[in-house]
Amino acid sequence: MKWWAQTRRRLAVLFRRDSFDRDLEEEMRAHLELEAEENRRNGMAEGAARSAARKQFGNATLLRETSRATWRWRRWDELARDVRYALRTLRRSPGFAAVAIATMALCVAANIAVFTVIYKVVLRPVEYRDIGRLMDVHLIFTEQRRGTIPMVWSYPKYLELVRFNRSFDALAAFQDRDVTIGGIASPEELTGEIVSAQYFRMIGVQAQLGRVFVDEEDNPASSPVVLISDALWRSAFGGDPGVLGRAVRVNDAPMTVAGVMPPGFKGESGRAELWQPMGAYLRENPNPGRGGHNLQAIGLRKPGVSPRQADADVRQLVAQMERQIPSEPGSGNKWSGGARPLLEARVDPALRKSLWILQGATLCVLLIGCVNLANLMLGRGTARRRELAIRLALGTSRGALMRQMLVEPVLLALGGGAVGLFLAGWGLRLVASVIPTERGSSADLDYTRFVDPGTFRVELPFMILGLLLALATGILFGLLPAWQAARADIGEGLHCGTKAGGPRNIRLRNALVVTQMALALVLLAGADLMIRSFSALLATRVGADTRGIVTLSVQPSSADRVVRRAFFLELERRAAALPGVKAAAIANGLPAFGPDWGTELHVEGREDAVDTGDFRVSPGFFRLFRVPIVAGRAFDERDGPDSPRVVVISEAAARRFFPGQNPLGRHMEYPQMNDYQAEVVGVAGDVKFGPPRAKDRPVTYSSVLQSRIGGYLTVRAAGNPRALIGALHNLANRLDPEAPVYGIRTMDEIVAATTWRERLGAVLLGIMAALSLVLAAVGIYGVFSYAVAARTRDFGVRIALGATRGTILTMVVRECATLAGIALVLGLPTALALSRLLASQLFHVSAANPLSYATTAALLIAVAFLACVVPARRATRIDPMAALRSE
Amino acid sequence: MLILKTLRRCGPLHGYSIAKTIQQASEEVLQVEEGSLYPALQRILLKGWVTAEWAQTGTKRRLRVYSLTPEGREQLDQEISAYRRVSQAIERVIEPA
Repeated sequence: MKWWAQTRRRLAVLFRRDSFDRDLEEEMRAHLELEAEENRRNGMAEGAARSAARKQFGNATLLRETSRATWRWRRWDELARDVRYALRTLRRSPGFAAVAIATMALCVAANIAVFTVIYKVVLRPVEYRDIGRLMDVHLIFTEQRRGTIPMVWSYPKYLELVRFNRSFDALAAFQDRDVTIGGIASPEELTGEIVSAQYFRMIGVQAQLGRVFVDEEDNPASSPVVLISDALWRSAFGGDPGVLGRAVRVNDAPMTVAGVMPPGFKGESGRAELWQPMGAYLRENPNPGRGGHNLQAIGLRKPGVSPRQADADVRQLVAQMERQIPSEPGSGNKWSGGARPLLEARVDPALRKSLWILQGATLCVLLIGCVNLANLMLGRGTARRRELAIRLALGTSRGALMRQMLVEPVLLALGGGAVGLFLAGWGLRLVASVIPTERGSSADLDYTRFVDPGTFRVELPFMILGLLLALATGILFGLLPAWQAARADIGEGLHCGTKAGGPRNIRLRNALVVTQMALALVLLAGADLMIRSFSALLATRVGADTRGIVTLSVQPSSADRVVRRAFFLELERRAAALPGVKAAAIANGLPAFGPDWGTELHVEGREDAVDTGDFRVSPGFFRLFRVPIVAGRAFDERDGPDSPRVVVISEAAARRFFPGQNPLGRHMEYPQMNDYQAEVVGVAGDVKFGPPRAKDRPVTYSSVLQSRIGGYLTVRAAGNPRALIGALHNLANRLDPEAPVYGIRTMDEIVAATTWRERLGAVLLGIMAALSLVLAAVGIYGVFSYAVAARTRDFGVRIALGATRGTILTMVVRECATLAGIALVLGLPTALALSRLLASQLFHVSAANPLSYATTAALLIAVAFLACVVPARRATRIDPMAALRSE
Repeated sequence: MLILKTLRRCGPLHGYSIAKTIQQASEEVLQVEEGSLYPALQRILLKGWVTAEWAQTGTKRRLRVYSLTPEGREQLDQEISAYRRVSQAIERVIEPA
């Protein structure tokens, strides 16, 4: 309080400094006049009276100064002076300031951006209350042939889990599936979740409008209600607050809208737009069986129960359940159960690993940057040695000197930090742009659906973190020369002038530069591997021409087979007739996309089944995707429903099913399809139906004219495929106004989406490596410039004694080469050792790929050479006379 | 302390009178440069122990008059008692045994 009152008075004076000075002046003058009058009254002469008064008063100017000083902010004043001084000196060496700020900015930007991504993707992919206590509770199914996979619960098993577990305060079941919502302007196909009433209570999410589910709604007899997402509310109802109580149709069943969920909430599936209560599940499955495994479960762990205990509890419980009612008696398949923290269950382990690797790389960049700063500061300290010695000699206290030396790096750090945060925001936008908003392939949906690039922003805590990081580095590296300065011996400092800091100093700096180069080498090697791996991914042969193609999915409103068939055939026919369309086809799978699953197919006369991708495509498919027919023919319009069944198989399938034989005229068996057989009429080139990392499978194609029809409409455009999107949408809507149209994308977008994680890894690690290389180059340049300047006299003597410029140049470059050589010796084994961490991320590239290391080493040597050749040339231009005379 | 005491004894005063009063009260023992009064006044102004106001005197001169604040009184009491303790202690030490 007292302190505040004083500050207030101080501030009052600060803002009325002029009147304060006038008051003081007038007051003192009055004092003198009164004194003089007194003296006159005592009989002194006019002049004597005045001078006696002045004598009595003392040094008026000094007293005025002291009076004023009382009101000053002494520390602040001094600090402000130091800041002004630092700014002035920085302005005089803009190169130094720019390099330091840029280094700091890049380091801060890289670290903050990467850490933000890690936080959003790995540490906090979901923002639920009690996230630390929420667990994913699952069954574990061990099949003899395929191994162990996590499974979801059946309703009866889930009820037993709820009743008999001892580890959870609450459990919730949910299921996600595609539903069609109707009764709105344009019907849509979207993801809906069925959830138990506990679900929202457990994750602590409230409706922004209306309410979430109540316990009665877990009962099938309750009246059907539905909750909608904020996005759906805005798109389908225009954000109308009167939406509560509105009637809609979900999968053709009437429902009432009971609430609107908050913006950004997409449920545990990560993509839900609509929620129904458990009652809806029981209406659809009135007698759920023990074997109907279709419910996921999450549990809120009791306080005091460890995740491991909860896991053991679930395992025991399931073992108990299996003893009482075995799920598959006598099959040899085993059922178990378990629980793991939700945070762990919702993060892709591969993505987590690659992000942590990236954070490691970023810290390396920071380290390299720090080395640069240390070097810069050391150099600066040495350059200012004489100045500092003079000031010490003139009586500046060592403490004041140290403070002043620290002000400069702190200013640089703050400046760099601020620029860095700005860059981080920009970098995050770049990262977000690499992550596709619609991530599709079935292979990575499970995990990455939780990644929301929309949340990639530099938030306040991260800003503070960034500035602190900058400050810490600034102070740490400012301390070095400050300490050097404070410790400095005045005599020596004055004596040696601006000459170099001696061999010890040089050795330290050489060691720093070697460290820097070695670190950069490690990063470069890593980035090189990632980029090679990524280009290998891109170079994966899809076997189909995916450029210039647009695709969409559509669900006709009728479930009737005949109507659906007519709808799709008409859609294909009209789409092909649109202006700007070269060809159209219907297929239930897309090259490079999937679905990435196989069926066990047999061939006549052989026992073993082969895991095969089995697709149903319209006759135009092969031409549209430019898949070559290498033998026989593609099916066409003549292979209709009444003619004999035909099939086209891929070359891989031909080799696998009919090794060394002519497959044409042979038969494939389709046990799932009423045991029908189809004659092989053609062999097509291999096409990969899945992302590059997916398994290669033999493929067979049936004609949609002879089997079920549906899936994707694909269209090859004459020009820009995106231009066709509107027309195709209209076309589908005209044919069936109730049919939801979704997933309109170009094949190029789909192909990019299947490799986004690899692209992200390659882009980011590449950026880090580039940064490290630039920083290392700056470091090498700085150290050699300094070394050359320090040895001006040495070179001068040599030149005077007849050394040619070539000799001098070779000398400096050889020194640099030695350092680079040491860096290679240290860096290459480290890189090789660390590359093992990367091995699991690599695709078709060996972590010990000698080409990678050779390229990297060559690149580093080239950069080192370029960075030292400029100072080396400066050394050759030294004028011997000037160099000798200057001492 | 002397300034505060003077202000308590004589009420609001201007700088010149404070200096003269202290001199007279101490019977010219405490002869300091009168001007050093002003930095001291500024310090206690800052501490909030006195307030200052401009007042017109009969002789057409403006004078700055200082008066004690309640905090100033409190401070003075504290300082006097502290001073007494110290001086008594010194007294006891130098008292011939």
